Amino acid sequence: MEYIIHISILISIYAILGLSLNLVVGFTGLLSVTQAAFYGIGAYVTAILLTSTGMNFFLALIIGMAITGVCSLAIGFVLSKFKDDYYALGSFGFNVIIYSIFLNWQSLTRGPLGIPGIPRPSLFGFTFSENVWFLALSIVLLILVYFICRFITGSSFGRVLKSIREDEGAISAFGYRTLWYKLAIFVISAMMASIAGSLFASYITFIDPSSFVLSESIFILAIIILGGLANNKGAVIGAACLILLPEILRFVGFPDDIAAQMRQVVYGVILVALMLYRPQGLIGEYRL
Amino acid sequence: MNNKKTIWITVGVIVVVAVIAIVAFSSGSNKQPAVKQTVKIGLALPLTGGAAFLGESSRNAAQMALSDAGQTKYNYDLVIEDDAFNPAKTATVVTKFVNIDKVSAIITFGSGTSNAAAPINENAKIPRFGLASDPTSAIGDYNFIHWTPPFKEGQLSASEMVKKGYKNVAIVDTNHSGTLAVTNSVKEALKNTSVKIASYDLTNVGDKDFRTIITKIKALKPDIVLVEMFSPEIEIFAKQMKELGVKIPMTSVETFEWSNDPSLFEGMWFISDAKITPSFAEKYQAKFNDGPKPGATYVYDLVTLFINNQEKADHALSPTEMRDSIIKTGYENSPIFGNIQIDKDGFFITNASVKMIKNGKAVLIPE
Repeated sequence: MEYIIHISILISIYAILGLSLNLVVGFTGLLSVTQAAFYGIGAYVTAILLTSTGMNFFLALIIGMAITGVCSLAIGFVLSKFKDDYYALGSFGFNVIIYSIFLNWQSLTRGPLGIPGIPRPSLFGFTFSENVWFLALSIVLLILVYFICRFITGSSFGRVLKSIREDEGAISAFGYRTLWYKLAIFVISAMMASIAGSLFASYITFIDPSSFVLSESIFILAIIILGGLANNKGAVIGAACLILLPEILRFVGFPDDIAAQMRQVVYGVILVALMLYRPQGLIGEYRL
Repeated sequence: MNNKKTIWITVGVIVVVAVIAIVAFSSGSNKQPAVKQTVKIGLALPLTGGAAFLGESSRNAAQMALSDAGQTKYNYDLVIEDDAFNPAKTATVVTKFVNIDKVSAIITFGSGTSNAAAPINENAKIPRFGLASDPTSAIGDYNFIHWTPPFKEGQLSASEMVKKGYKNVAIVDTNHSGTLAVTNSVKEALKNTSVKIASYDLTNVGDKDFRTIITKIKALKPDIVLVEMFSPEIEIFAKQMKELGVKIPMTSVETFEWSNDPSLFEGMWFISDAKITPSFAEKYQAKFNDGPKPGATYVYDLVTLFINNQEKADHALSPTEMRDSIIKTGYENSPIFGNIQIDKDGFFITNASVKMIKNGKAVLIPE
């Protein structure tokens, strides 16, 4: 049961990441691969505040969101100068920069040694030390993020985002200042990723830069592409599939000598097959 | 309608895969004869990714320890899982060991991964033995470290430099938990000696051009350069030293041994982890046609330790009994390291050794 709870917590965390990235990539059409950096900023701010000041988790989570928001505003402003492939390359660069900061600012982040002993959240004297309670907290935050995403994408603001995705020139001609819309959704998305980072740091109780590398951003992108771009449910389904699949493959009786490699091969083949038959993702509304 | 159909197809695929997995898993577990009790040992190793060569060597060593045990009273099942050297994946793997596989003991590889695993096995009261240098991963009653402590290697490195009459040393380090732990120990040990640190440079994994650092070192003229780098950076560094005509001798703590081309350091001394019995390395070489990589010796040693303790018991030991038996009896007559002390903080204390590269191979320098 604990194993299932553990997997469910990871699914909740990655579903929040998928939902947040879907706002930028799926609904606005901006191919960003910086999400792991914002995820990492949230995780590091929470870890540092919890271990060095003993601050309450929820306060640290809010501060983490604020700091991530400021960072993403600066990054988003620079990225707004780019379009299409150049936007993706620029966002790639920022992920690398922030990873390097995690790795090299050793007086703050302990660099590659990482931060151990991060405490679990507590609220009014109740500590979420049992995994089942942590799962409940993760699900509450996931539902909150899901409804915020649904509200945003269903609002007039969301319709402008979709218009930017379809034809930015046309919506600009109607007098919309698309730069501010793109910046706003980029910052909101980053702040949501920060929530996932705070949860991750407090759940695993240890973080180091290796959890926030570029491949993590690509994994989050794969979640929304597989689940379906521009569909909030798709992000949650994508997270569930991509977290569950490798775990299911652990129970397939491959010989020990080749088991790890075989699982990777099977995992890859299943993903390729899914993309061949469902190029728009499982329940996607938009294709890159 | 179309969306619903897709969801059902997805759910169907997952269910089919899950059923196949469960059938395969359950049929696998039926292979053990019912007459002998089975003791499970969980190993979370990096079997994919950049550190896979280390994980594979450790897996081979674990399997070798099992076959070397010969006829036993109990069955031993090695549950080997890949964590790709990623702390989050280690947490998943250790949760599986604890809740699904019900292992009696766990081995983890690396400091970050051991830190992620520590609270999980501690809560479940299952002893875990990390191949790690970060002491925080040994906090708790069920967490142990089996790896020559960095302070032992640092002290020996410093004393060798003093013995050889060096006045100053240039250090070239890598931004990695393992090498940082070692160089910090060397720096600490050098504080109380006459050897001064002429320069300290930090590089990153993946760096290719060290000419600026080498030029700086050349100008400083230190007596020796301590190089803490992994492959291929360490080979690139050694080649660029030659290209720039720098003939200052180099030394390292362990990293010469990790190089793909140790002949680049021919005739140079370095500090290695604990002395191991030569027969182990020879036997491993004969069996796998390759020498044991760092970590393999410790994994072999731990699996042997678990088996030896279990064989002395008249029933399958619970995880807590396994831990208690190890703490109580200590570790005498380790097949790899001889006698090992286990201190109160959960460290297996083994001493560092001095080696040199001779004919392209690391050989022990007699004391």
